Amino acid sequence: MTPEGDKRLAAVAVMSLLVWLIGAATTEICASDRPKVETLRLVLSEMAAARRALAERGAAAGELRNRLHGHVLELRSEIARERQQNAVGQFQQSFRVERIGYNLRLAQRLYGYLEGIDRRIDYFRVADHTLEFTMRRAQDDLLMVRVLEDSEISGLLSQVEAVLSEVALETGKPLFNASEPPARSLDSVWNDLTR
Amino acid sequence: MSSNADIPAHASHEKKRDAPEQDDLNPSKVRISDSGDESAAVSTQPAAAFTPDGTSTAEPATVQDAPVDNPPAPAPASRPVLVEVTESDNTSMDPACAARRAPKRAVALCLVVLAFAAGGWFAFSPTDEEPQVTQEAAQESRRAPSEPEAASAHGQPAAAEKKPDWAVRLEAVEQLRGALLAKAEEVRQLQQEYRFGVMEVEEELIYLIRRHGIESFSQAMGHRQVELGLRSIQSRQAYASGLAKPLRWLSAGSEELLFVKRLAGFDLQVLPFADGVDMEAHAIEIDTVLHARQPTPERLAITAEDPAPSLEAIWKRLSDQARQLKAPATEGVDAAIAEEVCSGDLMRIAEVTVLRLKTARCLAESGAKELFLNRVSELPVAAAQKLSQWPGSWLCLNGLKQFRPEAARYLFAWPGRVISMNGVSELSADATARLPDWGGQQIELMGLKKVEAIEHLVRFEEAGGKLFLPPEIRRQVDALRRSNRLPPPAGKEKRG
Repeated sequence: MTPEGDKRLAAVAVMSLLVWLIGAATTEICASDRPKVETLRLVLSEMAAARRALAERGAAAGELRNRLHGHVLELRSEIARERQQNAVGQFQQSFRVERIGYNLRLAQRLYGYLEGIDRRIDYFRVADHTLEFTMRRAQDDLLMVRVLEDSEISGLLSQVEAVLSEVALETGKPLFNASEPPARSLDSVWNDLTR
Repeated sequence: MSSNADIPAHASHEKKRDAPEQDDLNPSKVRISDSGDESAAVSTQPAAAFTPDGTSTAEPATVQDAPVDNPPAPAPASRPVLVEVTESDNTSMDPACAARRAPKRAVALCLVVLAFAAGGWFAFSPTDEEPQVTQEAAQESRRAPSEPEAASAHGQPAAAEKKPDWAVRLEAVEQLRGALLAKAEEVRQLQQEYRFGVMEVEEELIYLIRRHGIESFSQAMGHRQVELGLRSIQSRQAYASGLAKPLRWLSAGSEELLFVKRLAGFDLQVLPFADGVDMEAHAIEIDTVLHARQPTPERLAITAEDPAPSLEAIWKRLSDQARQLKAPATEGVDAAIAEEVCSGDLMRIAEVTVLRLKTARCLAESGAKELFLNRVSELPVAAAQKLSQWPGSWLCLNGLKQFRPEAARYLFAWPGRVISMNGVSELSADATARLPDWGGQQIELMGLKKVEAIEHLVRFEEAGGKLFLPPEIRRQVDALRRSNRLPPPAGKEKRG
């Protein structure tokens, strides 16, 4: 190759290098905030999924609650019928009739379950509100990052992390502990069912 | 990835300009020379023909003068740019030329390498590692347990595995409970039979005592028929009383079985959602109850809890009733007809004025489809109870003036179709309370003048029953139905 050829080759190489460097730098500058945007989108999607999980868990809890409450109503109507048939007026007389006694014990247990389920449903509701609030904040931060390109999101991410971890943990937990002793006494159940 | 393609493409153009004379090559044996200038020219194949892994996808050009296995030719003074090479062959340059051009090529090569390195670093280096790690960690740590996982944590699979066992166990509970309830019903009916038998014998003895003028216990014991009657009453009362114990045992067993079944059933329902559900304890409890509640003869044995009433006590009670009895003039006829009916002759049944328990029992056991008892003016509760077991279809009691609630309770449990009581003028609310639930089709009450609870009649018609009523009562019934905006009767198809 001639010296001119060598010069030409060097010039081409230098130009290629410059073009590559400029292109890469521009791309980097344009994409400098994309990870934050993507991160916020991801956590938004995770929070939405967590809310869905909460809603499903809450719906399952609600369904179970309705079912158990239906059983309590059945027990209650049986007690009313047996009371009428056997002229049972007071709680002390109730154990004369086996069905009434057994139904009171069943209702006592179901009331315990229902209270546990209600506590969980309340928790799900509160957690959903927290997630809703955090999602709203994440959406606000997302808008900020898009506009200002340099917004601090680490605090929000920590909060999201904490909320999502707790929700994941709590939604995986059982609704209640069936082995806990009943919170209500039999006469309290009697008073409630015969009110 | 693209570098392999870029370099040959660029070099190819250079080659075409600088060394157009090169046509003698075997693509399969051509390699890109790393010597730079004309020797850097390479294959004539287009760059696009190279796949990312560097293999060529284009059809190889036909080369005629370059045997594949030819050994490399000795290097001439002016060495061709493209040479046939073997895999082990290293093409060498003219040392002088190479020495002269080496610095420039090295600089250019360094710049290219530097450019690629810089570009690659910008392109692939993570700018914000923390969020990425956070995202991945979050994806792992926050992943809410899926339903099966959650279920697994709560023992659902265990429950699923146990379900067949539980189905069998609960079915066993239900079967035993059904058996106990059926047995209890048998015992209850037997008890009723004994009690009815006591009443039937008592009724006979009352007439007997009155007819024969028996006034003392010793006289009664001296009368063989009365004495045996008293003993029958005593024995039947003892049986009826003794059945209370197995009846209680059966009832308690069925209730306990229902309780353990419900208890386990509730916990089976909450098992996928709750912690601390001890199904093993339920299983043990159910098995224990299943064992303890088997109706063995020992457990159903009759034991008289109360001592049987003495014959004298029975006598005293019957003699008191005999003194108060106002025997109708037709007593003899009724007694005779009772004997006839019990022997299967129902010819004179319409002449009965007082329906004796014996007559009612024999009528209930007869195969008659219609009973016209229009001279009967009073229906004893026990007779109504026995008649309610008669499997006929039309019961005429048009001579009845009063319809007592106790009798109504049994009569409205009768499985027949039509009841005629056109002699009844008043109906209490208690008497009609069970009418809406009666499964019969029709009731005739054309003599009715006063009804306490018209709504019972309305509900009977709403349920598809048909009422024959005098105009005034009919007007009241229709008015109540209109005022309540109740739907029209569903029709007879619901009944019978």
